[in-house]
Amino acid sequence: MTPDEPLPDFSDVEGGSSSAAAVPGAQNAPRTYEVKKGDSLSKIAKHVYGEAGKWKQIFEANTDKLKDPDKIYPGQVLTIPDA
Amino acid sequence: MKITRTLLALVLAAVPLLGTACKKEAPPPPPAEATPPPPPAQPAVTKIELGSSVGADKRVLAPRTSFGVKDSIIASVYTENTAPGAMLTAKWTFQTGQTVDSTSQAIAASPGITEFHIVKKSAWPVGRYKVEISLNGTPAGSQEFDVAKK
Repeated sequence: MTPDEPLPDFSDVEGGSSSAAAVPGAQNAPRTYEVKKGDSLSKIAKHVYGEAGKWKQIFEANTDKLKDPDKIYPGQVLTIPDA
Repeated sequence: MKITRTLLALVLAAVPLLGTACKKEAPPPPPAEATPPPPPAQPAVTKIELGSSVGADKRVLAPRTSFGVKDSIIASVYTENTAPGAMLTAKWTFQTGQTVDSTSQAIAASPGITEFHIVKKSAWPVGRYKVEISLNGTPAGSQEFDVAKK
Protein backbone atom coordinates (compact mmCIF):
# COMPACT_ATOMS: atom_id res chain seq x y z
CA MET A 1 0.00 0.00 0.00
CA THR A 2 1.19 3.54 -0.72
CA PRO A 3 0.28 6.58 1.41
CA ASP A 4 -2.03 7.86 -1.36
CA GLU A 5 -4.14 4.72 -1.46
CA PRO A 6 -7.47 4.88 0.36
CA LEU A 7 -7.67 2.78 3.48
CA PRO A 8 -9.23 -0.63 2.90
CA ASP A 9 -12.84 -1.13 3.82
CA PHE A 10 -13.53 -3.69 6.53
CA SER A 11 -17.20 -2.83 7.01
CA ASP A 12 -18.31 -6.16 5.56
CA VAL A 13 -16.30 -8.22 8.05
CA GLU A 14 -18.28 -10.47 10.33
CA GLY A 15 -16.75 -11.79 13.50
CA GLY A 16 -17.86 -14.44 15.92
CA SER A 17 -16.67 -16.74 18.67
CA SER A 18 -17.43 -19.80 20.76
CA SER A 19 -15.78 -21.63 23.61
CA ALA A 20 -15.47 -25.18 24.88
CA ALA A 21 -13.77 -27.12 27.63
CA ALA A 22 -10.39 -28.49 26.64
CA VAL A 23 -9.93 -32.18 27.21
CA PRO A 24 -6.67 -32.59 29.18
CA GLY A 25 -3.97 -33.89 26.90
CA ALA A 26 -6.03 -33.24 23.80
CA GLN A 27 -3.77 -30.40 22.73
CA ASN A 28 -1.42 -32.88 21.14
CA ALA A 29 -4.03 -35.34 19.92
CA PRO A 30 -4.46 -35.69 16.16
CA ARG A 31 -6.87 -33.20 14.66
CA THR A 32 -9.88 -34.72 12.97
CA TYR A 33 -12.57 -33.77 10.48
CA GLU A 34 -15.95 -35.44 10.07
CA VAL A 35 -16.89 -35.90 6.44
CA LYS A 36 -20.09 -34.17 5.37
CA LYS A 37 -22.35 -34.86 2.43
CA GLY A 38 -20.82 -33.48 -0.75
CA ASP A 39 -17.26 -33.47 0.59
CA SER A 40 -14.28 -34.68 -1.39
CA LEU A 41 -10.68 -34.83 -0.25
CA SER A 42 -9.78 -31.85 -2.42
CA LYS A 43 -12.72 -29.88 -1.05
CA ILE A 44 -11.67 -30.70 2.50
CA ALA A 45 -8.07 -29.77 1.67
CA LYS A 46 -9.23 -26.44 0.26
CA HIS A 47 -11.31 -25.81 3.36
CA VAL A 48 -8.63 -26.83 5.84
CA TYR A 49 -5.37 -25.84 4.15
CA GLY A 50 -6.63 -23.28 1.67
CA GLU A 51 -5.19 -25.44 -1.12
CA ALA A 52 -7.19 -28.16 -2.84
CA GLY A 53 -3.97 -29.72 -4.12
CA LYS A 54 -3.07 -30.85 -0.62
CA TRP A 55 -5.75 -33.58 -0.69
CA LYS A 56 -3.00 -36.18 -0.97
CA GLN A 57 -1.70 -35.28 2.50
CA ILE A 58 -5.10 -36.12 3.94
CA PHE A 59 -5.35 -39.33 1.94
CA GLU A 60 -1.89 -40.48 3.07
CA ALA A 61 -2.73 -39.80 6.70
CA ASN A 62 -5.86 -41.95 6.42
CA THR A 63 -4.81 -44.98 4.42
CA ASP A 64 -6.06 -47.15 7.29
CA LYS A 65 -9.60 -45.93 6.52
CA LEU A 66 -9.45 -44.99 2.85
CA LYS A 67 -8.54 -47.31 0.02
CA ASP A 68 -9.67 -45.00 -2.75
CA PRO A 69 -9.29 -41.20 -2.46
CA ASP A 70 -12.49 -40.73 -4.44
CA LYS A 71 -14.57 -42.73 -1.98
CA ILE A 72 -15.25 -40.99 1.30
CA TYR A 73 -18.52 -41.13 3.16
CA PRO A 74 -20.46 -38.75 5.41
CA GLY A 75 -19.69 -39.49 9.04
CA GLN A 76 -16.18 -40.77 8.41
CA VAL A 77 -13.71 -39.12 10.74
CA LEU A 78 -10.47 -38.27 8.99
CA THR A 79 -7.18 -37.37 10.59
CA ILE A 80 -5.97 -33.98 9.39
CA PRO A 81 -2.17 -33.74 9.37
CA ASP A 82 -0.54 -30.37 9.98
CA ALA A 83 -0.01 -28.33 6.84
CA MET B 1 29.02 -32.88 116.17
CA LYS B 2 28.03 -36.16 114.62
CA ILE B 3 24.57 -34.79 113.97
CA THR B 4 26.03 -31.73 112.32
CA ARG B 5 28.20 -33.86 110.06
CA THR B 6 25.28 -36.06 109.11
CA LEU B 7 23.20 -32.96 108.40
CA LEU B 8 25.96 -31.49 106.31
CA ALA B 9 26.30 -34.72 104.38
CA LEU B 10 22.61 -34.77 103.71
CA VAL B 11 22.61 -31.16 102.56
CA LEU B 12 25.59 -31.77 100.28
CA ALA B 13 23.92 -34.83 98.89
CA ALA B 14 20.74 -32.89 98.22
CA VAL B 15 22.42 -29.98 96.40
CA PRO B 16 22.91 -31.82 93.10
CA LEU B 17 19.32 -33.02 93.29
CA LEU B 18 18.13 -29.45 93.84
CA GLY B 19 20.26 -28.34 90.95
CA THR B 20 18.64 -30.90 88.74
CA ALA B 21 15.18 -29.97 89.95
CA CYS B 22 15.78 -26.29 89.28
CA LYS B 23 17.55 -26.80 85.98
CA LYS B 24 15.83 -24.81 83.33
CA GLU B 25 14.14 -27.09 80.87
CA ALA B 26 15.45 -26.93 77.37
CA PRO B 27 13.09 -24.89 75.23
CA PRO B 28 10.86 -26.97 73.04
CA PRO B 29 12.01 -27.17 69.48
CA PRO B 30 10.40 -24.55 67.34
CA PRO B 31 7.43 -25.84 65.49
CA ALA B 32 8.31 -27.01 62.06
CA GLU B 33 7.61 -24.24 59.65
CA ALA B 34 4.52 -25.06 57.68
CA THR B 35 5.21 -25.20 53.96
CA PRO B 36 3.41 -22.23 52.51
CA PRO B 37 0.71 -23.23 50.05
CA PRO B 38 1.76 -22.77 46.46
CA PRO B 39 0.57 -19.47 45.04
CA PRO B 40 -2.63 -19.84 43.05
CA ALA B 41 -1.88 -20.57 39.42
CA GLN B 42 -2.34 -17.49 37.30
CA PRO B 43 -4.91 -17.50 34.54
CA ALA B 44 -3.09 -17.62 31.26
CA VAL B 45 -3.35 -17.91 27.51
CA THR B 46 -1.06 -20.83 26.71
CA LYS B 47 -1.33 -20.98 22.93
CA ILE B 48 -2.84 -19.17 19.96
CA GLU B 49 -3.28 -21.05 16.69
CA LEU B 50 -4.62 -19.74 13.39
CA GLY B 51 -6.36 -21.64 10.65
CA SER B 52 -9.35 -21.69 8.33
CA SER B 53 -11.31 -24.57 9.79
CA VAL B 54 -12.10 -25.65 13.32
CA GLY B 55 -13.17 -28.94 14.87
CA ALA B 56 -15.83 -29.52 17.50
CA ASP B 57 -13.14 -29.16 20.15
CA LYS B 58 -12.44 -25.60 18.86
CA ARG B 59 -8.96 -26.50 17.70
CA VAL B 60 -8.06 -25.29 14.23
CA LEU B 61 -7.53 -28.25 11.94
CA ALA B 62 -4.33 -27.19 10.20
CA PRO B 63 -2.51 -24.34 11.93
CA ARG B 64 -1.01 -21.80 9.53
CA THR B 65 -0.20 -18.11 9.31
CA SER B 66 -0.77 -17.49 5.62
CA PHE B 67 -4.22 -17.13 4.11
CA GLY B 68 -5.89 -16.47 0.79
CA VAL B 69 -8.08 -13.46 0.13
CA LYS B 70 -11.26 -15.54 0.31
CA ASP B 71 -10.38 -17.59 3.40
CA SER B 72 -12.14 -17.56 6.74
CA ILE B 73 -9.63 -16.84 9.47
CA ILE B 74 -9.95 -18.53 12.82
CA ALA B 75 -7.92 -18.15 16.00
CA SER B 76 -8.02 -20.94 18.60
CA VAL B 77 -7.02 -19.61 21.99
CA TYR B 78 -5.98 -22.10 24.69
CA THR B 79 -6.46 -20.97 28.29
CA GLU B 80 -5.72 -22.40 31.73
CA ASN B 81 -6.53 -21.54 35.36
CA THR B 82 -9.32 -19.17 34.45
CA ALA B 83 -12.17 -18.43 36.83
CA PRO B 84 -15.79 -18.85 35.79
CA GLY B 85 -16.88 -15.83 33.84
CA ALA B 86 -13.39 -14.97 32.62
CA MET B 87 -13.51 -13.05 29.37
CA LEU B 88 -11.33 -13.27 26.32
CA THR B 89 -11.23 -10.55 23.70
CA ALA B 90 -9.78 -10.87 20.22
CA LYS B 91 -8.92 -7.66 18.41
CA TRP B 92 -8.04 -8.11 14.75
CA THR B 93 -6.07 -5.32 13.08
CA PHE B 94 -4.66 -4.63 9.61
CA GLN B 95 -1.14 -3.38 8.94
CA THR B 96 -2.48 0.18 8.69
CA GLY B 97 -3.62 -0.01 12.30
CA GLN B 98 -7.28 -0.24 11.30
CA THR B 99 -9.39 -2.43 13.51
CA VAL B 100 -10.89 -5.22 11.44
CA ASP B 101 -13.03 -6.71 14.22
CA SER B 102 -13.17 -7.01 17.97
CA THR B 103 -15.11 -9.76 19.73
CA SER B 104 -15.36 -10.82 23.37
CA GLN B 105 -16.29 -14.29 24.58
CA ALA B 106 -16.76 -15.81 28.03
CA ILE B 107 -14.49 -18.81 28.50
CA ALA B 108 -16.53 -22.02 28.81
CA ALA B 109 -14.28 -23.91 31.22
CA SER B 110 -10.76 -24.26 32.52
CA PRO B 111 -8.76 -25.48 30.74
CA GLY B 112 -10.58 -24.20 27.70
CA ILE B 113 -10.29 -23.49 24.02
CA THR B 114 -12.04 -20.48 22.56
CA GLU B 115 -12.28 -19.83 18.85
CA PHE B 116 -12.62 -16.41 17.28
CA HIS B 117 -13.33 -16.13 13.57
CA ILE B 118 -13.60 -13.43 10.97
CA VAL B 119 -15.07 -13.68 7.50
CA LYS B 120 -15.32 -11.01 4.83
CA LYS B 121 -17.89 -10.95 2.08
CA SER B 122 -15.47 -9.30 -0.33
CA ALA B 123 -11.80 -10.25 -0.65
CA TRP B 124 -9.43 -9.55 2.21
CA PRO B 125 -6.99 -6.77 1.42
CA VAL B 126 -3.57 -8.31 0.86
CA GLY B 127 -1.12 -7.55 3.64
CA ARG B 128 -0.15 -8.24 7.21
CA TYR B 129 -2.67 -8.66 10.00
CA LYS B 130 -2.53 -9.27 13.71
CA VAL B 131 -4.86 -10.72 16.29
CA GLU B 132 -4.31 -9.52 19.85
CA ILE B 133 -5.81 -11.53 22.68
CA SER B 134 -6.61 -10.08 26.06
CA LEU B 135 -7.76 -11.99 29.11
CA ASN B 136 -10.01 -10.04 31.46
CA GLY B 137 -8.80 -6.84 29.81
CA THR B 138 -5.10 -7.65 30.15
CA PRO B 139 -3.02 -8.32 27.02
CA ALA B 140 -2.30 -12.05 26.95
CA GLY B 141 -0.78 -12.75 23.56
CA SER B 142 -0.87 -12.02 19.87
CA GLN B 143 -0.27 -13.68 16.55
CA GLU B 144 0.51 -12.13 13.18
CA PHE B 145 -0.51 -13.54 9.82
CA ASP B 146 -0.46 -12.68 6.14
CA VAL B 147 -3.14 -12.55 3.50
CA ALA B 148 -1.84 -13.05 -0.03
CA LYS B 149 -3.32 -13.72 -3.44
CA LYS B 150 -3.14 -17.43 -4.15
